[in-house]
Amino acid sequence: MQNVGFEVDKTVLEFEKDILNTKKNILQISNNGAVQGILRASNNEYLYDEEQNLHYDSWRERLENHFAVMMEQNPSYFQIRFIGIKNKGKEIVRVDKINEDITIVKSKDLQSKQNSGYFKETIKIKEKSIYISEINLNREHNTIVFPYLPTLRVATPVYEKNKKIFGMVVININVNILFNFENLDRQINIENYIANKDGYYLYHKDIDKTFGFEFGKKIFLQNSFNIKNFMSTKQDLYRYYDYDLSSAIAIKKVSLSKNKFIYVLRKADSKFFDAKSQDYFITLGIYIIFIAILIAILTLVLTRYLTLPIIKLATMANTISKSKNDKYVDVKIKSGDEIEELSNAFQYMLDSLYESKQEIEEFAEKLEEDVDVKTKELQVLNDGLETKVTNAVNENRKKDELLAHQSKLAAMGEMMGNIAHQWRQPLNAISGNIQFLKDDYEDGLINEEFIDNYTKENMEFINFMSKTIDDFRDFFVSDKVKREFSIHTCIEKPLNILRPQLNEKSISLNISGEDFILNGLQSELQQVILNIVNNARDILVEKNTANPIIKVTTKIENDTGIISIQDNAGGIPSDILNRIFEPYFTTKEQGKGTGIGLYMSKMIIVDNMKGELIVSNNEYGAVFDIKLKI
Amino acid sequence: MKTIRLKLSSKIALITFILALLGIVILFIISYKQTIFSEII
Repeated sequence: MQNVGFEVDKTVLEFEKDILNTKKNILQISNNGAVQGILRASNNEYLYDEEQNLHYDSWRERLENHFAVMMEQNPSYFQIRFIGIKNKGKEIVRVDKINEDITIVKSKDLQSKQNSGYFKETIKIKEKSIYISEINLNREHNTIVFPYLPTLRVATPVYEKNKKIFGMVVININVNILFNFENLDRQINIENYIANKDGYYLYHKDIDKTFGFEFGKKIFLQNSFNIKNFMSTKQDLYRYYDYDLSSAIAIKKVSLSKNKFIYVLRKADSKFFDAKSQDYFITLGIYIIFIAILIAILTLVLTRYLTLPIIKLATMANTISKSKNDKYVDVKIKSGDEIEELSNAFQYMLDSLYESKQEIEEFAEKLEEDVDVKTKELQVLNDGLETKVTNAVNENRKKDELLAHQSKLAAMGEMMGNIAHQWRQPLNAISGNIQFLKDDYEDGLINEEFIDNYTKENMEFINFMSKTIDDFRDFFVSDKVKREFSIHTCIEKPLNILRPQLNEKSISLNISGEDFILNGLQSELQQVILNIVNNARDILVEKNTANPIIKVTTKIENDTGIISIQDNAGGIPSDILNRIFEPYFTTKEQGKGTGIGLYMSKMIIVDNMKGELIVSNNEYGAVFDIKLKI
Repeated sequence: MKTIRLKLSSKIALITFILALLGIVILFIISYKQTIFSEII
């Protein structure tokens, strides 16, 4: 759609430009050489310009030509005149344009204009000032010329050197051409109105109302539009919506001279808006897309500019975090804002970190050296220690061996006592037999039968004693070779030696349970059993228990042979129950116990035979369970 | 619900872009009538 507003704006602007141009033109004419020549020639009695050696008529001719050229160049000019004052306001030079033909008016047709309004006004103004008339229809001899020609007259006075007014230059302008009224008529959905400063129509779509005031019709612009308030202000532009007519109205004051102006009013109806809206939104869409692209580019550039220091810092931080901080890194960023402060702080932290790391490394190196020295010292110490430990272990082993030996010796002592006890009776019997042998001989009792009986009896005693010694020897054989043996045989042998002593103390010894075969060190197990039974005997004697009894029971439970030795001495006090296997722990009087018997027993069962030795109390007394894998 | 991960620069760019665009659209809408008027004269 045609951009009507722009066209009209252009028209208004061109109008103002034309007025300005005309003002320049008229001033240029007033200073024109031909005008000045006419001035000089007029003052000569022979109408001769002595300065330029030209006659008055020649200057006139030149001015006519100049006017004609100017009219040719300015299509809106239809009349240019040079009017004198001294000759009673008669035109000196006049060029007309009639139907596009430029005509130089002959001298006889020139008119006097001293009664014209513009003549009277122009002679009042100063040199180089410009008079602009109201716009009205062109008149000739005070009669409106037909076809009607809306005219604007521009005039300027021409002064002589002695500051006396000589005449004036007047240009008549065809306002139709100036405003391009034909164009205004063609505009769609827009109505155009032009009025003079009083509101009289200079242009109306209704031709009868155009210049109606020239024919006595009092039709005003302000009667049709709500612009009275605007007309009374000094504002140049006023716009408003007329909701009743659903149209928008804009009125502009177009200045002609200091106190003269005209109004240009435009009324756009709803159709105009619809069309414009569509146009507007299409344009808006294009603008928005264009601006969006522009903003996007700008935003990207700006954001890049803003975030570049942060990205740089982040990248550096990332690099530093991945590196081992083993070399000095410069992270200073010169952005002149908080990021620079941040980078400075970061740099400070990094420097501190770097220094700390250096210190730590130095410290670590020193520490490493120290550790090396200490390690060497420790190595030396360790070497010594190893020897010391080996020595101590050996010593300990020797001590253990000694302990075992002591234990064995103690047991041997016990056994020796028992053997002595066992041997006493047969020895007494043998002794008695020997003592009574002489008497028997004197009595003649000795015969073959007696000798057989005597030998048999004494041999029984000697066999008994021999058996005792065999048992003792079996027990004390230092047997380190494992072999299979019957548990009952193993138990009975040492207990048989002990039995007479137990009988003497009225202690019953009861061996029961199922027999089983063990593979191990028999003598050592015998030593353990003997130790436990001896302890039971001692406590039963010490406590003087009524009906003292020692029960030795054997049984098999899940591939484990269990030998239980229990007494009825009331049990071991609970406070020492956990301590009885400790070395040198004894409850016996000084000199009677060494405190190594049970310790050695535990060592034999646990270390040598890979079994268990557990002590507990039952309702009668202490129970020792020896558990051995069959 | 997945979190959309954006870089700081992208966030700033996106916000600035949206705000600028919004501002321009609002300005265009506000100046609509005025613009229509200016078409007349």
